[in-house]
Amino acid sequence: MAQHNTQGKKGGWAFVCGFALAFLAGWFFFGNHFAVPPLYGKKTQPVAFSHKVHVEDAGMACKECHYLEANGRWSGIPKLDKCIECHQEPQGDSKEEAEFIKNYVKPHKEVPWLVYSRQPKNVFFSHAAHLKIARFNCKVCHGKMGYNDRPPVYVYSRLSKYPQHTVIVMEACMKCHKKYDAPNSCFTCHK
Amino acid sequence: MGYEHKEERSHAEKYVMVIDIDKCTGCGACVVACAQENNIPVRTDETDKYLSLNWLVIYRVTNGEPFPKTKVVYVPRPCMHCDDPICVHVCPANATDKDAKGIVSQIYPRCFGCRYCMAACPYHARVFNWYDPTYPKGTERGFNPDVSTRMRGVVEKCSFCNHRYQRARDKAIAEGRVVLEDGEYIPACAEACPTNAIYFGNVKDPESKVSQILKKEKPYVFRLLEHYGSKPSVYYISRQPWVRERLDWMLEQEHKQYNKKS
Amino acid sequence: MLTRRGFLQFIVGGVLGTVFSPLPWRMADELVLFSQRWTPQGAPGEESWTYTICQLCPGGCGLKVRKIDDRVVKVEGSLLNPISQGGICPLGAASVQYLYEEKIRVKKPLKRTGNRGEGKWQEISWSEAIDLLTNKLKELKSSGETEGLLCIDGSISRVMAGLLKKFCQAYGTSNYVHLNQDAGTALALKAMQDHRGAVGFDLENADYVLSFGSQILEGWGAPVKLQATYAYWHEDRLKPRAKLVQIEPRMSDTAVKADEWLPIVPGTEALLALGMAYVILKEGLYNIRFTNNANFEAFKQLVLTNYSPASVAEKTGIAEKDIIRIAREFAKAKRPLAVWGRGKGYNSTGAYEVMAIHALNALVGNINRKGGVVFFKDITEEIWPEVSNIEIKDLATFSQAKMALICEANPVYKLPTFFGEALKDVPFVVTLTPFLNDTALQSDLVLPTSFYLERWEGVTTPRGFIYPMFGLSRPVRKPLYNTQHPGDIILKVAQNLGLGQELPWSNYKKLLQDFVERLYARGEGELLKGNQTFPLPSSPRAMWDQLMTSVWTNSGVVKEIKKFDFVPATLAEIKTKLGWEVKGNGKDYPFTLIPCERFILAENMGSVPYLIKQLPDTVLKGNDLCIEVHPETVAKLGLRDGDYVYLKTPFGREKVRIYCYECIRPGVIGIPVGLGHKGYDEYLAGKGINAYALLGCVKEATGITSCVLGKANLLKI
Repeated sequence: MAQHNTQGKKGGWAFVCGFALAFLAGWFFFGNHFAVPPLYGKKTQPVAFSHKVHVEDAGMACKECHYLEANGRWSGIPKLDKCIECHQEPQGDSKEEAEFIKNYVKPHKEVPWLVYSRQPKNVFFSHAAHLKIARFNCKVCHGKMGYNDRPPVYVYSRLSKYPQHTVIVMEACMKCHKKYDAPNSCFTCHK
Repeated sequence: MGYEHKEERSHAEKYVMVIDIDKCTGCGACVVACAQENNIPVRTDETDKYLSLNWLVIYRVTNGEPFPKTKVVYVPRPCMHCDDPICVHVCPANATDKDAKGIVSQIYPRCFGCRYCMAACPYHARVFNWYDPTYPKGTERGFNPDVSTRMRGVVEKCSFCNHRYQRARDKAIAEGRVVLEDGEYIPACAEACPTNAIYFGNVKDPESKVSQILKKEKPYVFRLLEHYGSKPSVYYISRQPWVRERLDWMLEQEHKQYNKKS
Repeated sequence: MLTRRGFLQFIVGGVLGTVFSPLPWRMADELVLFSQRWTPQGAPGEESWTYTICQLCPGGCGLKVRKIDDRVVKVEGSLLNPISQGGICPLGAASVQYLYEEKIRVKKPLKRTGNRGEGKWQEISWSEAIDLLTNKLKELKSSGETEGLLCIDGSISRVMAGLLKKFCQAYGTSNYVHLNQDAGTALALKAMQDHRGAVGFDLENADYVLSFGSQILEGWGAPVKLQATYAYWHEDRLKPRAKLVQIEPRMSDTAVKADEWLPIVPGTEALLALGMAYVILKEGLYNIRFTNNANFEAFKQLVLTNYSPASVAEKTGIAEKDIIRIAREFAKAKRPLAVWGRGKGYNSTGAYEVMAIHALNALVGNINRKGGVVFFKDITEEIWPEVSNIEIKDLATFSQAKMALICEANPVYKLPTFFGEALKDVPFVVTLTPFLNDTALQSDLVLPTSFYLERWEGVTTPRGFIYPMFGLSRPVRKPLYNTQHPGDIILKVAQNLGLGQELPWSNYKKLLQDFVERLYARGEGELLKGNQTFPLPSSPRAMWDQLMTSVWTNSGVVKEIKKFDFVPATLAEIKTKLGWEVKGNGKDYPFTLIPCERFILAENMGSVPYLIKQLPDTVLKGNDLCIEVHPETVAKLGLRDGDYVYLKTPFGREKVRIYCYECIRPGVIGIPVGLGHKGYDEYLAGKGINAYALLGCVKEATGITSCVLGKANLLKI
């Protein structure tokens, strides 16, 4: 009788151990708070672009680089030509800017920015509808991007290769669309 | 056979297409424009018409009479975007749906290729990618980025160039309005047609070209396989009664009624 | 001590822990995304639109080209252009494939290694290529044999053709041939009206059109304009503005849309025209405008004696009552018009036929009238009058050539029994072409030219248009490969040969600018944009800028007619034979073979995959060409639809398949043209057979050669 009890206690411990181990490991490795391998990977942007410097020190407005074109398309991240308007010559004395000019401006190579909110290829996202009709503030989806001093670390999933920041999955879109009476049919957002 | 639209969905737009068979010369500009607009793949051998992939097909319809009474017409057939779409009802993956403006969608990543919709469609408007889509080397540079390319194992079909609607609506929104003007959004086939045999527009707008044409040519308007009850959104106009007979099933008394007209 | 039970409980605990952690949900999402299979997609970019004019045929359709970044993704019709009015034809719509299909484009100058036709090349630089060409030309010049240069031109633009003519003139050769030129029409009109210049057919305003085999809705004339004209005729579906009578041996798509189709025996079109003339003359339905000093009496005598409907009916296969009825309808119509130019109008129908058909026009008095046939001087002839003196030579008139310069043409394909053979004896063949076609394979030096979307070009009056027109086709992107404008190549060579005085332009764009300046200096005409008309702007520079989105027309052009002669003496020669010297006797070759042209089978350029895709399987099945034969004929031979059979002509024998087609005359075999290419790539080459190789050439007593019909036999396999 006594043998069973001790065994039962040990078995109980095994269960708790297993549970705790798996639980913690699951939350640690697969939750997006720590963002560690094996599932997650981290990258840095090729150029350490500072929004703060450009907005405060250079006095630029957001819509100088990010605007709605006349045909309704969103300009997205500006092309190298926009940077060259000012950065043909160094504007400050930071090391990052010098590297930027050496690696991208001089050979006229487009900067391969990592897009935090990259969507699958068959998604059509309309900035025009969300800015003008839904009247969203950029912060709703892009967080405090416009105020940062260094670009945030780009965290992505090594399996699916998608960025893990503003995780807009279809369900999140549809919930909001339902709430605000926007159409939820497939062809609204897919192509 | 009514084509009066009941207000099934309270939406300001319902897009229909009107194809004037009397004007269509069968040139094929619409098919090529559709292929170029929608990144349609090409096989080396396109003569096997079961494997040849086309969203818009031009049928050559004859009256079945021997010469000299032979008559021929050309009938372009896109997806009908039915108001009662059987394909939508049967899809097990919910890869296709009908939206409020009348367009039946087809979402490629969700489709797993069971082809139930192909069996259901009475117009054979849906085609299947039996193989990986191939394109002549170098022509990938000419891909339209507004339309996603498909992968093997999925069904595809005409989308009334929905991507053009998306772009047109974005443009309208950028200009500060939500309503699209008549002719602002038309599919590639309607735009290409040199005889203007294909009209496209919002039938809920009484001022639009399609509304006016449907009203003006009422005695000659019909739809394909009307008796099937799928309520297609594509209307055809022909002054020749035999065309109507060939493109639908008729009861005995209806045969007599249409034969009288000729 | 871990027991088995403990171990199992550990595992269960682990599983439960996993379930309560994000792992399963994350992995499900990740696996879904990981397993999605994406095929290559067009990359997004900045959208831009450019207006230009198509150069795939002489139709002159305005285009609106969509680019994403610098990739051309779509070619659409432009509403600003009065010719095409927003429409486009299948070829124009497929322009993007022509541009981007890598395997058919020539990317660098090629020099032949190996034998002709083997397709073995050595890539050389442009300077080497130009030097090679210049040296060969210098050689000929130094030995005094400049007439040994044969220039075969297939240029769509008459400005480019004009440049080549100038080059030939300056160099010293009169052996210039343009493959699209209809020598038969030229000869006929010279005899009847002493006319050298443009011919226009005002189909838009006609109300009764008699088409002798002209595939009006399939690429004849200005294709898109005529499609729009057809729609205009049928604007009110119960009361069409015009009646179209199509006279041809088979029911083409034009015949399908025509109001009446007369299935005529091939080659007897001239007889039918004269039979109708009989009715018009007999019943006095003619207009007396052209009867003075026109040999009218002799003509009337000739027709009334020899071409009664009864005798004509037998030879042409059209019932006598139909001939009489149609002739009456034609003459009594308010604006009747008879058009000629079989198929798309690129193969000559011979001078006799044109004379006979044009006589009908004269009889109803529609020359230079609204809804009729109009004659005027084309703008290229006005600006460069010196080149209009070049005789329009027939294909057969050039003798031993020492060197062939072929510009954007495919004569080895088009006339294989003639040029294909003749070129074998020519020591040096140079081809200027964007595509690696049949002729390029047989050449010694291939110079790649830019596709029309990559270059400047001057667009002159579309075929059959009723007044002069000029437009600019501008480049939409810079050349993809190491290609050059053919005009630039010719100008460079001319400079090297010291012909800079006659050809004073350093490049083709300057030539065009000079052309526009001279056009402007004439002070005539107006600018058309959409349906608005504008006067000429204030300077040649402004004119050039305006021509980016508008076209110049001269609707007030002087429509000239110097004289009119019914040429009865020439027409009398028809009664000896059908007019054509067809090879092959009736016993060995009992059937008549006719070419069947289709809109989507472009002979000069070859057809790209999106066009071949549309061919019905009654034209091409696998790699087998299908010929159209009447079921009666098929049954007599004991064959069935789809059977393989040998099609034998005096020029060759090929294996084809039978397509039983009721709407073709019994005893006539229709063979689709446009397939059977060598060169190009796997999407076109080796499919079907080259119909021209079997049709061969026929010659007329006037000296005109053509390939409008032949004789054939069907042999069981």
